[in-house]
Amino acid sequence: MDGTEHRPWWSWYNNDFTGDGVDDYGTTEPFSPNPDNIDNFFDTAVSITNNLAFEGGSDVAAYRLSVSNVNANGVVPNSKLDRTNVSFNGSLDLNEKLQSSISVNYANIQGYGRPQNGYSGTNPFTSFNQWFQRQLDMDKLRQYRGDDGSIYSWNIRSTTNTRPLYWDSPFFSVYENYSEDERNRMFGNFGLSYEVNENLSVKGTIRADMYDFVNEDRTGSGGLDQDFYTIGKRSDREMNYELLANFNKDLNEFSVSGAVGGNIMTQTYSATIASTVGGLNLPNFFNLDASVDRPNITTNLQERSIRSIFGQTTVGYKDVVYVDASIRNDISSTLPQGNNSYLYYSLSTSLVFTELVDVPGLSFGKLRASIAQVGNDTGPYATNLTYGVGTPYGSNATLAVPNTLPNTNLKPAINTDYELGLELQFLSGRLRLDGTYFNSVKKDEIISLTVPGSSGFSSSLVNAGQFTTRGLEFSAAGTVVESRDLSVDLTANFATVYSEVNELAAGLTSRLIAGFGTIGLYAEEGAEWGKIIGRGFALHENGQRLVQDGFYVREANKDLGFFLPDFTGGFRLDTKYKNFDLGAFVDFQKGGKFYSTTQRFASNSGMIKTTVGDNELGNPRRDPVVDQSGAQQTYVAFDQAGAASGGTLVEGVDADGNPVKFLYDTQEYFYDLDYFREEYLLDASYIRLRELRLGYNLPAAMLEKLPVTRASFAITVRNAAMLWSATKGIDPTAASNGTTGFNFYEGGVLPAVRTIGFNLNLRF
Amino acid sequence: MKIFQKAFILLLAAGLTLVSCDDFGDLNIDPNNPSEARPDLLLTSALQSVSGLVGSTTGTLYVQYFAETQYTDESLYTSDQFDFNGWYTGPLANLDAIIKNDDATVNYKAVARILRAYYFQFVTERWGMVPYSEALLGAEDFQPAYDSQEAIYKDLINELKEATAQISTNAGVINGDILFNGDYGRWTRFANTVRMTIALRMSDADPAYASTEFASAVNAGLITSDVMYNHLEEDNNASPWYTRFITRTDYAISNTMADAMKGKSDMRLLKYADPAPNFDNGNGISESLDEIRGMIYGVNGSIAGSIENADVSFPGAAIRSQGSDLPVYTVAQVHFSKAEAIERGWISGSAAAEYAAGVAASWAQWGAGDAAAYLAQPEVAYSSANWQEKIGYEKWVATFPQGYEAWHEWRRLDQPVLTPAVDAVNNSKQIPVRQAYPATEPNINKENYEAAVAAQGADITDTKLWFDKN
Repeated sequence: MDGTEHRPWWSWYNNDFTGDGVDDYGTTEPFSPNPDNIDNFFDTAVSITNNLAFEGGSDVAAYRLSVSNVNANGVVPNSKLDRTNVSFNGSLDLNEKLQSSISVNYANIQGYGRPQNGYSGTNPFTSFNQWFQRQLDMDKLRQYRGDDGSIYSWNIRSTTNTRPLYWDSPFFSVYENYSEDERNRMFGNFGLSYEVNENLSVKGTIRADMYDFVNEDRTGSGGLDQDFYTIGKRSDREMNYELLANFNKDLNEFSVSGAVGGNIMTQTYSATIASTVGGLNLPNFFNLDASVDRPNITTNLQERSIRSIFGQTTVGYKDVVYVDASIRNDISSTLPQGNNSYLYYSLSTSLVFTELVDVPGLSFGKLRASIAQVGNDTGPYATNLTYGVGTPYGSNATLAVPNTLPNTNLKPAINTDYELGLELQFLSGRLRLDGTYFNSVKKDEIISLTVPGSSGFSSSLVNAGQFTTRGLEFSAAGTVVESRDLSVDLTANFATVYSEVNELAAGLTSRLIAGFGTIGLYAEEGAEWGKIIGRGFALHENGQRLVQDGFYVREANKDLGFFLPDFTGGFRLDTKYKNFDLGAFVDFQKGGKFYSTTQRFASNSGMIKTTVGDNELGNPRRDPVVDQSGAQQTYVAFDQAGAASGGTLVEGVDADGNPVKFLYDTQEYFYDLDYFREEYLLDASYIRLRELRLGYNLPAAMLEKLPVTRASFAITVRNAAMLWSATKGIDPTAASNGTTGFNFYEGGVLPAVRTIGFNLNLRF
Repeated sequence: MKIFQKAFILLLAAGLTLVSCDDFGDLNIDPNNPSEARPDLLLTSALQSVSGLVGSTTGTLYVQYFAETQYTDESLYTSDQFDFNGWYTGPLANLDAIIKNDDATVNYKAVARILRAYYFQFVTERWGMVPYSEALLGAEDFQPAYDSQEAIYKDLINELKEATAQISTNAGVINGDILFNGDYGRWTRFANTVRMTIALRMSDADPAYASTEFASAVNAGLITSDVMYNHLEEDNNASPWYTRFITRTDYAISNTMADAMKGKSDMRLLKYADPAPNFDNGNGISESLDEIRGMIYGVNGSIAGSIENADVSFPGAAIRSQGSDLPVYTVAQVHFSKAEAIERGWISGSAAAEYAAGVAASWAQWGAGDAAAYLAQPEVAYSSANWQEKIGYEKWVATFPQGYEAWHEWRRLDQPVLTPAVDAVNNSKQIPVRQAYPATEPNINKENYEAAVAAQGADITDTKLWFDKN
């Protein structure tokens, strides 16, 4: 970036990029940085919400109708979201004993150009932080299509073949490879309730929840990838038919209430998904008819039903003791007959002991304890082996043995949560403490367990023995100042969790939770959940990194520690001064690890700060490594290096344990480091200012002359700032993996967005 | 209001009956996938994987047929762990389902056994000891033990003999056979050729056994025409070399290959590679060896990235067209194997004649014209004194683009002499002589993995397999 004249990518096209009316082919420009180029790609997102509601009624009837619409443009160009909700609630008393109620809700969501996520060649965010160039000018990239229809990219194959090589222009990605989706959801219920007497009523309810969802995705013609179109239509319908008898009675100081009932649930899901194969025979004609080869089409129908019977009761004594108990039996269609009925219960109690005994200094004290169980079935068709329909060869159809072995002996899973809590208040409630200990036991959880592929299957559906998660949550809150004009409240909370696999399945003691090639996350029987195993730095017996031929030695299948954080928590501040209020929320995490492909490739391609600077000799690291004779080398022993040698320091021990030091060519250093997954397994500790809020209430005196009874204004900043993070450059909270549901793998994530909200509230 | 109470009690009774019944009829029967599989559909599926076997890239880089253009990781032996699971859960599981299917005729079973042997040979030659006798048992054994390569080889030879004996022309035709279209004669000759190849592989490890089995396979009848996997002119069944070049340009002919062939005026190179655009005489078709430029092999990304795509030759249309067929076993390979067996004294005949026939068959296979002038060159002409070098080199050229098969033979014959990648990043900096087990095995099949490593040697790419004696 030293200002050297060079031919930029756009000088290889016959087009006028600079707007001076002259073909830019053959132009040169100085090589200089464009530090805000990524920022220039994004738009400022604006979201507008409108609500409207009507209410009305009479002695025997009431209704409410509301309509709302949210229209939002995303930070990514060409992305928008439109959401409309209509809801209607009504009730009508048919006579003194019989009452009917209805609720109908409709939601329509239309997405356009939803940003992509994850590591992919069509995701521009993968490019920006991993494979990009700092001098690129977004205004030039915006011109990705010429008047003659040819497509331009900054990353060309060669000076004579200007097709995109590895990357399209990011604007091509968002304007030509965009998706569209629309979901129509309708849900609601109709109920008839009959009051038998003042203690007993009976209610029948039908609930329906259904949606249809259409999504289309496309790859534009002329870009990096073969042009493509896919459309999926999915619909789902869930119906519940419930009959419930409710009772309640107060006996002296006891109150008793409860319900018994039954429910039948049915679910029907169907999908048709079709995509073009071999490209489109007419450029940018996004239709299945344009498929060059026979399109791929799959249809899928899934049905499921659960029959339930249940009872629940609450008994209270004064306002001191409460006992809640419930019991439920489900019978599921997805489990084998004979094994498909499962009973589960819950029992909880709370005792406000300060009502019974007077503890000096304590203004309120409450003890709670509970056991809660939930029974679970699995998805449909998991109990019988069926063959997968494969890709046909010409007119020959194919079938294949499935990769997941179904299980004809599946049992229902029962999850039991034990919880014990204590709540204390001192100084008339100005100091509040709350502590909870929990222990969650998952028994017979139905999981698809990765098994050695040499068995013929890659996974097997099993009832996994037992998983336990236990933890401690603690919060302390205090009202530090409380006066007429000023109040200050502080809250701190803290949580720590430990997870363990007690027992897996017969003959299997280790579970692969998520695998990413040479690094994976495992749960081993009898050990903490989330053990990371992958390729790392080989160590000498003395604990130092082994160095051979100037570089670290690789070791496969190395134990790299555990995934879960040591603890998490937060601080909250709420202050009020006269008509102003100010709130702030900070959250933090200590420990925990995530694996970052962004760091890995950004280092490999030399895009981040850690790849520049001076070395221990005071020379730029990116300068060539030279020995004392001045000859260029890939690496040189530190004491043999020329005075002007560049390179990056590699320090460790040789096979005999003796300390060694080398300077290694910096570009090669990061190429080679790429193979050490351990290097990019990063510390997920952070402290973040998650929310900041400033509000103002207009004093009543100012409103007297206005037709407004109340007026307030607030500014809210969400995700305000990362105050500190162990890993620089990557937001550990943004690391995500959709399929596994936890933050271990990061690859090309959309940067975290800071949202600033302005809220004006007027009441007439 | 009594009527409501009666109705309620009735409703409750009916509801209770409904919610306590555990029979859902056919509700949990999958309507999306069949629960029975026809053997012909399983066979087609299992045969489709042959394309990936003969068209894979890694072996072509080990033996330096190709060089990577910008991201040279694989050429620098970056990857040590390779996943064998897909071979078991894919074609092997499908073939096993045919063999265990009572409704499949003996001919389906025989063909499935031949193909299963072919895939298992491939698996053991990459990883060495692998699950074999305890493999494919599903829930009966989720911890399959590893068998020694010797035991696997010898059982495969036995399997191939039994399978060919099992074929009965009276037992009806087989369908779905996209390799030989139901021709049992070709299946038998293919099985014998696989058997011959396995026998030859044991030349150093168990020469006596190898000699007997080789001769037995030759007597049983070897392939008489090239066995090709036919790709179709549609993306789902296209040549993998075509698919790789739809969006990327990662593989060019290596300078090792190009320079060696150009030095001998080997016209097959015109078929193996396209002209380098900057050296093309204008029509995009290779017409002279000078138009072909090899990509320098084994250099790091910064050097590779500085070489323009227009300065190197990409794979030729013969393998890079959508419908390009890829060789599975060729007549040329058979001739070279026989020439070697004659030199070893396993069979009788003329090694020189087999050698010449092999070269001629290879030229014919590629449509490269008459090989006579090529063979007449002193550096090409056969020499019994240097048979390893002569046969090794010609077999290497003729096996193109089947990288893995060429790698197996290179490990056994140590010919041609290949220089490891100069910028290799593996610890030893040597060309791998095996592939390491998938990263999941030491965790989810721990005991058996550890036993295999104890028996075979460290789970690294430098551990020589049983067949590879020097």
